[in-house]
Amino acid sequence: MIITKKNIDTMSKKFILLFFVLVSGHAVFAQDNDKVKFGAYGRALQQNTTLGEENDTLHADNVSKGHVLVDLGININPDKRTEVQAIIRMRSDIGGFYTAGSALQLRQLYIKGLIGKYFSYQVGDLYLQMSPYTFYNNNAEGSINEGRIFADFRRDYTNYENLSNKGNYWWQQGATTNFALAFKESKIDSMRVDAFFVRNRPNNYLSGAPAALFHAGGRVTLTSTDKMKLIGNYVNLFEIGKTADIDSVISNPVTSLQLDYTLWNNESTALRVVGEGGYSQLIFKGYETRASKDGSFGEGAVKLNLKPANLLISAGYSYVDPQFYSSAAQSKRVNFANIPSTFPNVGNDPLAAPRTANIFDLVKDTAVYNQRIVSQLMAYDPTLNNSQAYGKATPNRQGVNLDLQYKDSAQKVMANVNAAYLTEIVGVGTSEKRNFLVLKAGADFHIHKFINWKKKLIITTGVRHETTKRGGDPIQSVDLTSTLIDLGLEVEVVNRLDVLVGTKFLTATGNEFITLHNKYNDVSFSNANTANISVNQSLLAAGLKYRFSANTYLTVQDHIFAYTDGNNSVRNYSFNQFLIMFNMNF
Amino acid sequence: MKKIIGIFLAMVLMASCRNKEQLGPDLKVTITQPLAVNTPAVDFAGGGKIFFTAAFENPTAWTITLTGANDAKKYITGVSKEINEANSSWTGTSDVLPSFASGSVTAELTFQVDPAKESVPFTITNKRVSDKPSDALVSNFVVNKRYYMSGPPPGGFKIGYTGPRGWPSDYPNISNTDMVYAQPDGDSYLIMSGIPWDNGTGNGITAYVNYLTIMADNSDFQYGQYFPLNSDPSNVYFNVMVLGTNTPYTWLQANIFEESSSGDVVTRTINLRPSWTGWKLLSYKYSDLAAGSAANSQKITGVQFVLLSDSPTLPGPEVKVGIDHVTFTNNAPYQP
Repeated sequence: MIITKKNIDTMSKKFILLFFVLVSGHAVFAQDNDKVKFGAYGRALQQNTTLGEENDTLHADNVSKGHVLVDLGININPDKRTEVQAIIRMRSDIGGFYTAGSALQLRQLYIKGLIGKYFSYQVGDLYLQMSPYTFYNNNAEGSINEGRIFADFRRDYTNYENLSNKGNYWWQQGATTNFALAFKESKIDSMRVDAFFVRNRPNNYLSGAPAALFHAGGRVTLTSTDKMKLIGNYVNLFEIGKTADIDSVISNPVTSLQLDYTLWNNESTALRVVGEGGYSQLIFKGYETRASKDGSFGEGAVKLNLKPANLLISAGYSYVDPQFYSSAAQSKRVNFANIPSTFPNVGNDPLAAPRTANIFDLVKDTAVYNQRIVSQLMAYDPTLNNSQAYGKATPNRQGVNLDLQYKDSAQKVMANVNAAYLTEIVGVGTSEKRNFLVLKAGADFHIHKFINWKKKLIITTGVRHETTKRGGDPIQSVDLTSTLIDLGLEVEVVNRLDVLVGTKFLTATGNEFITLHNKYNDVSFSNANTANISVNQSLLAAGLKYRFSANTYLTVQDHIFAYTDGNNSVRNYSFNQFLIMFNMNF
Repeated sequence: MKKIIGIFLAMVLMASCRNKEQLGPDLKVTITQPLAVNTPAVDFAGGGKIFFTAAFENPTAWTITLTGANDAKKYITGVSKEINEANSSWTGTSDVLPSFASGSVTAELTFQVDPAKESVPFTITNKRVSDKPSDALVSNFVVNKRYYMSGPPPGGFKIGYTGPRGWPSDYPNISNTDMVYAQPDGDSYLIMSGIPWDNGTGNGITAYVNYLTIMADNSDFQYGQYFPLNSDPSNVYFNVMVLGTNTPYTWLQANIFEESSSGDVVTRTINLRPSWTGWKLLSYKYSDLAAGSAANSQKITGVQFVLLSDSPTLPGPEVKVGIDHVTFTNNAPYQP
């Protein structure tokens, strides 16, 4: 059957009906008692994507895919101190017949509870986060205060499917425990201890026969009155060679100390000093010729809260050693080495490499997302983030940053401006060092509050501008400029029915040497990775969203994406995607 | 509080005072000692080797490309401040077919980004002997002494059969030498070509073009009934140099005949669609070819090449492929 917008609509209506059947069935079961409770997340999604005809007569130009799924959460409390939660996924691909493409899977499972009065524990699937230098899932590129039409889809589909929908937490499997103590008549008011031990997803870059990879660590948090908080962090990613009968293994311990001290806090102003410093090692056990790579980092900032002006000002300095490696802070949420699932090959050259992820994929394609924590620095796209491709923990960076946050008391306007100037600590491939200037700004305007309109009218804006420069011989010099703009509009035209509009524009021009890292994080280059860049990407989207409740909605959208390469028009391509999604969470 | 802030500042200061070296090899190369070769002539047949020397100001990613007069190529790469015996020794092997022949060779030094280059010539007085004593050569199509037959013997293949085998091959019992292509090994190789034809069986035109069978006792070295190979099939490799001729729909099937425990013939088949132009060495671990049954590498009796066309409309255009240096090796793939 040829998929058209019309019959997609028809198909999706059928699946939405199926949802209502499932939901009403659920309502029968959801007669919660004290010991067993149910919750569910459901989604019906149909996407129909058409490839623009420019420069491509080789590949299929229409892809249609969709699914219906329900994640049924079962929460069991066998006693007051124990909780068991299982999420069972029932999924059916639209277009699968007689159970083809259908699956029943256990998506998540954990047991948590309390031992005695003080020790809590959780075993199974869990989410972990520590500081940005030790254990932190950095946000994906390609977004700067993006509009609702993109943010909803990213949250409810892309991040949800990638198990990265809990802020900057990494999804892991293992065990965690914590306990807290309170002290009287002491300089320390309380102490909390957290510890974890997780089995990392298998992906060993040092051996063809991967050894079991584990992550262990913890943190101790000391609080003194409400003025000071001191946190000690320790994490270690390590292999156990005997699990694969190999002698050479990797270990990556990272230690840090965090401080948050309030100098004063009165009715008009508050001033805090925050900072973190630490040390890492990347150890190659069994590699006689390879010494460990050791690095340190430090950052400090002062945060001034001007309360009458609703303004928070932060100024800081950071230093990250060229050999600082922290696997769980540097692993990327997006794996730019992955091939996008939507039209991976475009153009008429049958030998051309598959395309890389663009701003369309970053919003919509789970295939380019990553769940693994790895010790090797992953591939990145310098047009999206060249200065801090691995977040704050990006090695070989030092510099200053200034951040302003404003939110008026009526929350009519919320704005954030950030400026950073960073330099490399050592040159890469030359004694010359790159310098980076990054300007970011985002603002939400709740127009309906200005005009006293009862319905919503919200405009979101965001811009990220980055320049990278390096001097020296023409062979060594770098000059790259990129700008990402995000605009969004959300208008409630009738009760609960929103019109959503969003755009993204990315322009990048100049040149850059894309650094390659091998499994030991040694740096290399190749001519093929010396990029002369002249790229424009645009994503325009418009749609309707009907909110049944706060967490349940139906949306119909159309997205138009275009990629233009100023250096080679043969590489130009475009997509048009129509989608309908019913999303439910209760 | 002051102590804690002091500790922070001390940590940052210590970190920034560490000795810092540039990351990665130099993009702009400064050569402090030009490329040189340790000897102007080398005898690889006698077990000789050759190495190169050069030096740079900083660690540099370099490549030495060795090119023979017959276009054979060998690449030596490294990241270092020096090129020396430890990182540039060469014993005459080839990365890109053909094998290096005796004669002049040029060594060219290039870098990842910097366009600078240097070169130095030298001579191979005697080429490397690529075949090991333990290898079992099926044919290198050089020696004009064997009587290659095409087609099965009357009644099909039987182990131990030594009589006449079918009809003479369309490809005569001399090697075809096509000077359009570089020779991968020795002075000659075999070209198979043609278009599908109607063999009169009532099936009309089929994909079949022709085939060539070389039994162990009829191969270049006239082994006995079986090729002399290692008993562990995971240590045995089947190797063949294949020439892609940029002719669409070319389909080459390699069949390896093995005697089963019951005396029947078991066929291990490799299907090739040469989509490349030029020569490629293809090597297969014999155990990988034995899907669903235990391979016995000491009971291999012959090798057959079948040329077919997978043109959607038959007979379609002419298909054409070259073959050279068909050999079984023990313990490792063939190294030209």
